Amino acid sequence: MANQGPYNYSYIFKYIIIGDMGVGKSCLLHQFTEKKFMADCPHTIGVEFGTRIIEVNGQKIKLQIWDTAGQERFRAVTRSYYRGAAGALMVYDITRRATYNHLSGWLTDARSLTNPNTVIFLIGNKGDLDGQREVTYDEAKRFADENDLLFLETSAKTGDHVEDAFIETARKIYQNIQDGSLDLNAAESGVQPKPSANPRSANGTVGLDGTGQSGDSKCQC
Amino acid sequence: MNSVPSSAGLSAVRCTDETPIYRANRSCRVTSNSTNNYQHYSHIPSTLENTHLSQKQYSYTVNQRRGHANNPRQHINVETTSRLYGKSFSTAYYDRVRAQVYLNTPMHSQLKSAFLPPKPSTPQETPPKTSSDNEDPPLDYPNYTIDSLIQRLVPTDTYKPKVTFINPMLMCSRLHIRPSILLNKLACLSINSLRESTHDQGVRIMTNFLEILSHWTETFPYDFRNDEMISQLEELLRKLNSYEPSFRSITKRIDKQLRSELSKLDDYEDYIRQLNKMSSKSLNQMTLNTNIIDQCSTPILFAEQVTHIELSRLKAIGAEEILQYFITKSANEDARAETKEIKASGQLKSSQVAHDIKLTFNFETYIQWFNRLTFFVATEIVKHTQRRLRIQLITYFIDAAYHCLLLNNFNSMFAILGGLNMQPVKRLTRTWAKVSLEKFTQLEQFKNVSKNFTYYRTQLKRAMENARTRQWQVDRIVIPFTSLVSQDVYFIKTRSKNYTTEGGINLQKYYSISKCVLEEFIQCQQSNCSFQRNDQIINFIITSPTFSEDALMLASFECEPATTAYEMKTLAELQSKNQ
Repeated sequence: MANQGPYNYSYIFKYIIIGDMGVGKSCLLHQFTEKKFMADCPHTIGVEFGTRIIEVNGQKIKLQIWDTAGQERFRAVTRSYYRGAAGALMVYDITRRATYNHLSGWLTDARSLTNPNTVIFLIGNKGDLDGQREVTYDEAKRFADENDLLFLETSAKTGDHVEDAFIETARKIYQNIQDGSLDLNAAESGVQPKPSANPRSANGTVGLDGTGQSGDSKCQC
Repeated sequence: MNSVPSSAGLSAVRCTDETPIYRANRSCRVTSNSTNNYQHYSHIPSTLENTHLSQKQYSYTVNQRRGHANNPRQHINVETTSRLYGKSFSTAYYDRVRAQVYLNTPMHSQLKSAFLPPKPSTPQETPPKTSSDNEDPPLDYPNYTIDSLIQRLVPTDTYKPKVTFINPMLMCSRLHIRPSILLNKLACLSINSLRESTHDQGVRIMTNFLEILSHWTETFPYDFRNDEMISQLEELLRKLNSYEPSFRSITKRIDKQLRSELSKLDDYEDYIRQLNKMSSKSLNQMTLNTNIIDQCSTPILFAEQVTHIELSRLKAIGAEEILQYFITKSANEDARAETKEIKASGQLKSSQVAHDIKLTFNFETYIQWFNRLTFFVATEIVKHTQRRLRIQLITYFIDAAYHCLLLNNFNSMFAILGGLNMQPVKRLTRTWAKVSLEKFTQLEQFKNVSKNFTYYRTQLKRAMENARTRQWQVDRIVIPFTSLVSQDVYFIKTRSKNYTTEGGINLQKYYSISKCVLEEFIQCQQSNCSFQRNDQIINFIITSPTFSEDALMLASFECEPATTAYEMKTLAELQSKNQ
């Protein structure tokens, strides 16, 4: 369903994935973008990482997802990705309590560094390891409700609920556009409208030619 | 006997730094009127982060002692010795090696067979090595075992593996086998082949072997910080000297160079420890009155001095350290998971991969420097309540970042931009309104993530090509954005499979990691600059106190009051938290 007609989409939504090291951030992205990684040469120039086109309410939307895995300790850098994100996926590992305990720090960052309309989705990953669970569903759900977050438990390994998390976030962003609470003209809204209306986006951050999605092909580096 | 030619490839010069720049009495003059509101909650991130250095080192000594108890290296050495004297194989020895290797490798059924006692050649697994077959092993062969790869590393009188194979093997085989066991096996196999050789052939084999060893000690010297490694090496060199006295000059050179590298490392670590001590001392001597412009009059000078700091930190990093950093991280997580499983099931599962303990922290020190520079920039700006000064400072740092770009010091450029983009600085809209943004906008393009940082990567590539064609002459500097190198390595490590579908080792992964680390990062250690180093400025930059995030935010609210509802809430929370 996903990738037919890379030119035909109405919006680009930018996401970031945050959370402690080892919670499975890049696995989630990997699972969702159907292996569109250059696993052996991530330093290849020009490859569009972590993008996929989805459909919400009949509209095609290109998700451009930035993953911070491997850069967790470069604090200022990871933070600079927040700005201009329409959606933030905040991930913890249900089998490691510490990663859940650190959520308030991640949330503070996400709230203070993104715009007020950024949709934050809480993801409890490694749902396949229920036997080793250290954080109950109910507890996390309560935390999510208190902080006005969307919440799901996923498994990047089996793929359970991974799609839902990405798509629900997009649905919520789309809803915010529809009801006018997300101002598309605001700088750093994380949403860019129809490419046909605006072939080069104002700040030039997104190339719209759809190239670089070479899937799993072997790279020449 | 000729001396071993020094290995080609990337034997980078490290720690060429003059003696540590630290001067005890120079940094941070204290003014008496340094009372300020943030002092209570200010802290130096670097100090906190750097406690890892002392703590971890402590835990290593503990671990090493433990290691001694369960896994005595003496046995191996005794056996190595007996092999060198040409005694027959001891089965007990191989049982021990097998037990260790077993611990090192996932319980993969296909792989178990690989741990039978190595035979001199295993033609069904690896093509025979002849002088005409000196090419790297094919990357797409699906059935490599760790032993068959080690076989490719073992020299004969006519075969010597190429550096292009040695590097990936030495760097990345640690994903599957501990370097100390690799060295042990490599030595045993090489020496074993002497039994069927004439003395002349033997000398040729051992010359090739010494060359590999010399490459190891030059390119990955920190591996030999491990007790097991260094004592194996000493033993080996001693035996080689007695086998052929003319080896003495080569073995002496290997030993001397290695010791010099290791003592440089000790000095560097001492220096970093002293710096951290110094920074924590100056914590109570906070000075709001100092100003970077008084210390370092021009942004160009600032850019040059941070470049000096970058180079000394960068050159200290071992080629294996980034990979080792992620291996240790995931090993710690596995260990935690395993403990939990044992608790849950009451059973011991021994599938865990055993790794040599990480003994160096130069990569972490480098990350810490990056974060420090970011916080330093932000602190310098928000600590001034006069808007005029803040405008001057923001402009100063934009110019400094711009000059870093001209020097191809991308890492400092990103760190300074990071500081300027921190929320406490970014929110000062009335200050920014008076700043000329032309250069800043130009620099911000480097942060553009689209198409895998195309903008930055293209510029980096150009700079690297330039430096390479000019053989890294003085002032052909390239300092890459480390955060991205770190992410790239992490990607390959986590996304590229360790094993092929047939169950063999994925050699492509070794090559990819090695290429990424050596070509995109370690190669830059050859950068040297001609501009003068100014120790006083450097000390100011690396030891003057920086604010914590909370303190930065509070200071920022003093510069320009909270306006939005969200800011008011943040301010109230910070105030109550810090009362």
